[in-house]
Amino acid sequence: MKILCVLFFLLNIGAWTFTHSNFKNFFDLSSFIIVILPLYLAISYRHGWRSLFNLKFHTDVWVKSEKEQDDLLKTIAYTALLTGALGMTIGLVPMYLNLSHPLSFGPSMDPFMRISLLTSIYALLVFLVVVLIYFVGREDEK
Amino acid sequence: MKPLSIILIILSIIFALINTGHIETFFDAPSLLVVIFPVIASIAARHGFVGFGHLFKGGEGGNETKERKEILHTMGVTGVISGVLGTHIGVVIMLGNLADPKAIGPAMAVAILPTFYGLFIFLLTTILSHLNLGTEL
Amino acid sequence: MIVKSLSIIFIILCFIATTFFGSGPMAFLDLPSLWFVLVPVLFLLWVGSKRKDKMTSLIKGRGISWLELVGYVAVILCVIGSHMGMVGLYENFGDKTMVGPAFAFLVLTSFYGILIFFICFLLGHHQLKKVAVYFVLGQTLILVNNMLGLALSI
Repeated sequence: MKILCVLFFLLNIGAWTFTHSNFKNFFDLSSFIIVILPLYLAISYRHGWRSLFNLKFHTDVWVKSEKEQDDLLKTIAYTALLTGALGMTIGLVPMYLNLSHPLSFGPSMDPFMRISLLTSIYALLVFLVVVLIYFVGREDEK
Repeated sequence: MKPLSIILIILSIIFALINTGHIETFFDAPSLLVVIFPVIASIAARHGFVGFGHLFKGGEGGNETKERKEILHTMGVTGVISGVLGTHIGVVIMLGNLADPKAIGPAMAVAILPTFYGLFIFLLTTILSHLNLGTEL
Repeated sequence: MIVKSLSIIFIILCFIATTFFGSGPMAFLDLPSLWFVLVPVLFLLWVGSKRKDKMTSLIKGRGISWLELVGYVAVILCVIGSHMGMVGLYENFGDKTMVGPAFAFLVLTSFYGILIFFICFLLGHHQLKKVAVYFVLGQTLILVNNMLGLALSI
């Protein structure tokens, strides 16, 4: 149930980025790294670097470390939000520095506004997935 | 002392408004109505008509009753959210008149007003819900 | 029960009446943003109706109810949708034909997301987490700033 829910949400968002609009440039490797790398480092710092691969959220029996899994999901959620905000400011600072004349807004925003927006989009998507995993499908467990 | 502090907060906000020099922009009837009507109706929506009775009846010993705190929380959050929705409606209305670029500024100023009213109501209800109009220090 | 539903209908009518000050409520219907927000919310509501518990009772082991979860998911979708609209706005800066649909997507996804959050709040018996209110307030800032960006591009 959890996987179905998460897939449905992501497919919906993905479908609307690729179909209704003609901007197919939603992927940017640097913004991906800005979001994912601090996230993984924070998780390894608090829970150990193997903990992501030990997430058992689709079996029907919760292992006895349920509280640890809850802690892990909470860490992912909070760190994702903070990383997204961080990425947004990382994009905005060079953008405002390079802004000289009001009429040249378009070209001068080019790489940096994209970074700020894409980091926050990725971070919010991670947060949405974690919220769904955390709250949906609790009745499948004993 | 406590009612005096609420009056001081309201007066300071009004003083800040007067200091801007454009206080007549801050009164706009549709913006006020889009915030006030949902706030009053939200009491009935979440707590029924008895909610109005709970709102005005004081607590025993001057402490806030639990129902009153919940009703004030509802009013505050409804104020903020209907303010934000009113601003969205104002922006969309303004987008319909984009032909004249000079008119965007004043129309945008009016469009932000519901958020201002909503936040003001949120501030007042948050303060009032923690207020113990009693004798404790 | 009757009083509560009548009040909620009154509140929605209030918002629809405010739209008549401009060009009427037809300006608020836009299929991409409607689909983006409504389809996940309807899916979650359908899943919630299939559960054994009621929607306003707390989920087992977590502190919130299903209806509250639907509201928070609507707010997250609103923020994601507004960011996607911003990407479209700043990619096509100065190009009048392509900026329009992107900005409409921005405004309308936030509008529908916050509206659904509001309805879930009114129907439930919960107290809100403060973070959700701050998310919603941040949306006004995003809206205002992008209005400025739009005004500068045209």
